[in-house]
Amino acid sequence: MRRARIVLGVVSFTALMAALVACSVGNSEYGKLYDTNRATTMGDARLEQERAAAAEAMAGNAEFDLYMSGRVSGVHAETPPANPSGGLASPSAKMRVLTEEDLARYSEAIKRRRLGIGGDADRPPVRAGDGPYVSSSTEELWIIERRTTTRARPEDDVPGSGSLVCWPAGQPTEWGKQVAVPLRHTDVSGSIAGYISSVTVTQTFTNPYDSKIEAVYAFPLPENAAVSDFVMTIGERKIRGIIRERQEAQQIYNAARAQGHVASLLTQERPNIFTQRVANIEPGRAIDVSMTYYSTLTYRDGGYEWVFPMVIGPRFNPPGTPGTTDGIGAVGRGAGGASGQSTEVQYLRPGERSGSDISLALDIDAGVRIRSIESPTHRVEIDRPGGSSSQARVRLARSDSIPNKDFILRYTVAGEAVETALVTHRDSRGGYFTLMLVPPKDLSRLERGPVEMVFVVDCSGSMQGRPIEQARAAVEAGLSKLRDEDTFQILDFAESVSGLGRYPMAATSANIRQGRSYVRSLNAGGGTYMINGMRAALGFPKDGERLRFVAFLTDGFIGNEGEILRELDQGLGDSRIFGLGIGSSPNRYLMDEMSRMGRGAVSYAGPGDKTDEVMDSFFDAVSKAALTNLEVDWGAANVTEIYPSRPPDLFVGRPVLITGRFEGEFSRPITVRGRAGGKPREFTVPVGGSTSVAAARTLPQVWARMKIADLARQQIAGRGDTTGGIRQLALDYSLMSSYTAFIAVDSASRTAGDFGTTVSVPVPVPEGVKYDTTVQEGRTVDRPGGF
Amino acid sequence: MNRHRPGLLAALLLVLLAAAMGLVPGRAGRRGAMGDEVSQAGPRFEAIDLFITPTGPLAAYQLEFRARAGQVKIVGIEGGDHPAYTQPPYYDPAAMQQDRVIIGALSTKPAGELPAARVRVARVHVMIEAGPAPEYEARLQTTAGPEARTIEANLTFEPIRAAADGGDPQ
Repeated sequence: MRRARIVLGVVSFTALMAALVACSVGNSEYGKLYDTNRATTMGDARLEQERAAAAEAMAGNAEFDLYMSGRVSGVHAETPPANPSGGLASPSAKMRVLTEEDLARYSEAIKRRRLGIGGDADRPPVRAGDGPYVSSSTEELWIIERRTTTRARPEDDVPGSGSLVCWPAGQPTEWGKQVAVPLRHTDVSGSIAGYISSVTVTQTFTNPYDSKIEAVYAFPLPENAAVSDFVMTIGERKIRGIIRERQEAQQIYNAARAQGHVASLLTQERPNIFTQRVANIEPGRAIDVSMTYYSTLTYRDGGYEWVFPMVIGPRFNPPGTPGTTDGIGAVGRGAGGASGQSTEVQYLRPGERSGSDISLALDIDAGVRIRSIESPTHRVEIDRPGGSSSQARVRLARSDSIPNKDFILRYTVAGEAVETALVTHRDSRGGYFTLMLVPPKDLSRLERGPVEMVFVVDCSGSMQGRPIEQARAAVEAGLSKLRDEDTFQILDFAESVSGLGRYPMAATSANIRQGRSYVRSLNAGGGTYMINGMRAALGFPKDGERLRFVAFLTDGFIGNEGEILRELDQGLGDSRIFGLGIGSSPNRYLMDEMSRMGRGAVSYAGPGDKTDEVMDSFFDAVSKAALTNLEVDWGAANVTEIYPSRPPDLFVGRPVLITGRFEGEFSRPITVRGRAGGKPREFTVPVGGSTSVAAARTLPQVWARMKIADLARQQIAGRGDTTGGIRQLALDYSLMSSYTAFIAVDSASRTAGDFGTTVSVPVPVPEGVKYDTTVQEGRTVDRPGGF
Repeated sequence: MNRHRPGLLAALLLVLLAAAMGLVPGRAGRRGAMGDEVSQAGPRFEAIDLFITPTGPLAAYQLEFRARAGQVKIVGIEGGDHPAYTQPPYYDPAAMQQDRVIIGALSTKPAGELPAARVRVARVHVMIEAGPAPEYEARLQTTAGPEARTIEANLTFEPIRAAADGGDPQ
């Protein structure tokens, strides 16, 4: 029996040897690591390729270490084979079995390699103190090339030994330390027709290193963007990507990456956060990836607003909550895996800058005279083509091309107020429409009833500095708008919740003074446990005489949006939620969604905005009667599948957008009924027949995107599993979603060698946000200072 | 029971040897970089060039392409090599869900700048999963000249082999 066991062991080892694979990666410290565990390799073609590379390497003078574990080591640890490569290597290759000391020295590198090769890039990293990543009973064999000369460790954790970083000529030296990144440039090119925009975003990836890389870039898009087209450009060749189920697209991408094909994969992590992966970028090569999306503009505070987010704000993921690995981690450059989240954004450290920049151009065709146009966030150049009064071309100034804050463009059009506008489109699938429903002017003459105003102020670390100053000023401005018959309360949250009092207080002069004093004492620091603030705000006993308005003042930098929204849905009751997004890159998905679910409205206060003006506008909306319980009579048209499925309330100066499908014609006026000031109200919208504009061809995608958002809302609220519905809709309309992805593969050519090293694109923290209080360094779960 | 052991051992040895040679399907599975299964033989990629030979200047076309045998997934659509058709054509998403490609394109260039002889109008990138070799078929649905009149044309296709080291396809 003993002999039989030895034979079995020898055969097992021989089998393993015969399956030798040499999956080499550049690693300056340890030399090359050859994984001989067949279970972690990637297809026969790759095996053959790597086998040849291993044979070549081992035929040279390099020395090798051997690391074995599990059954293999149990049998062979005392008698290492003279030629463990199974005939591939030259007999001159020097081999030895690792000692425990060697093993400790190499363990970290081996663990890293396991993560990289084994296809488990998305698994949490091995952390200090963790047990072995592969169980001791698993057969595996690693061959590690020992370098005879030590290579210098690259300064910036880059693949290989060198990188190319260029500053544009004439840039000031205070740009800071240069960091090589694989994203060279982002170009944004769009057009607006009416209130529909069509935008193409092109990301140019390059490889500034001396070995092949895979680039990974987490980036934002508008939360209502219907991303419906994807093209990868290699030199002069353009390959249109295919929309597929997400898991299937990932499988295709993995296979293409392993076989050396240039490939790109676009996935959606949140409605406003996406991940771009580009595989097999060879040194010196550039690959463009373009995506096109359609979205509707918002009309608020007297003008249209078009927003393009340029950077993701660092999110906080409260530990210990369900689904915490599904958050959005914020880690320092090179600290990938430190957050334990499935999606991570790496941030440049203070004083670091990358050469990655952005250009932006937007053509506006308003259809009516444009009265004013401005960007409160960036320097722009504005042209009026041919002197046109209804058209404009806006370009981001070259001197303002650092992508570290949201780009906002606001423009007003002629006339006292915007009119209700209906846009329709028909194709083989049927009719689609969007209606921008404008509240009737006389609504502003109706005074509101008494309210219970609850201010909820985010005092977490990311609000330090200008944001908390703005929040304080906003609450003070809000307090000054209250009337004697109102009540109010002020809550603040970070790690825990505090408040001015236990219950809403009468808005007397004395109480208002007390409230102001309390607000001025608020400071920012600690983690963002927003759910506690939400529960406290919605948990007050119901006041039968007053409608509760909850105003959230926050940057929304959290990764557990689903949990917050679920809590809101369950505890909302008759309350209305108003969001005031603060900062240069607030989480607009969270803010918009909270306000939408809470049948309220949202405003934003950027660093350059005057907070009292924003609050004036905010209170203009809430201090007038809203039209509630909306019902729409669509006249002659047969309208179905309207989204949002729960009609929002109409506030003065805040039009809402409704989209749906139709048959027939909008040949008669639309009638809107609701209640305002405690009485039934009715008004008609003279649509004048259906209006069709060039941008209307995008309506099917816009409609499908709004339906997906509605289905996602149901899912979050726990009203059924809508996964299948979202997936099928996204496939039918060629749209990005949480369950679909775009994949593009160049199958006509292959790059040589391994797929290289994965490099994340680090980005700057948003303007006004402190790195130290928001970004996780190292592997600790809690952040220094929290946020 | 002991009498059976040599037989069992031999069988086990055969399995191990076969596994080493890559012959046992049960050993095929592996984990991809995102935790996904890929078959042992592994998928492979190839591209198929689609050519139209028109009887006059080609201003528009629509065609259908699919694999009637074999497990094929479409992974990209590329344009052709004539200036009138270099942009990657749009595809029908409904057909794509059955891995059928229905694509079309048109050009508003004057007749003199349109292809009038055999021209590659598109390249379809596919991933072929384990199983029998794929058999493709393509059908020209319509072609038109610059006057928007239907013209006669012929459709052919050629699979191409990936060039290594990033070189041009062969």
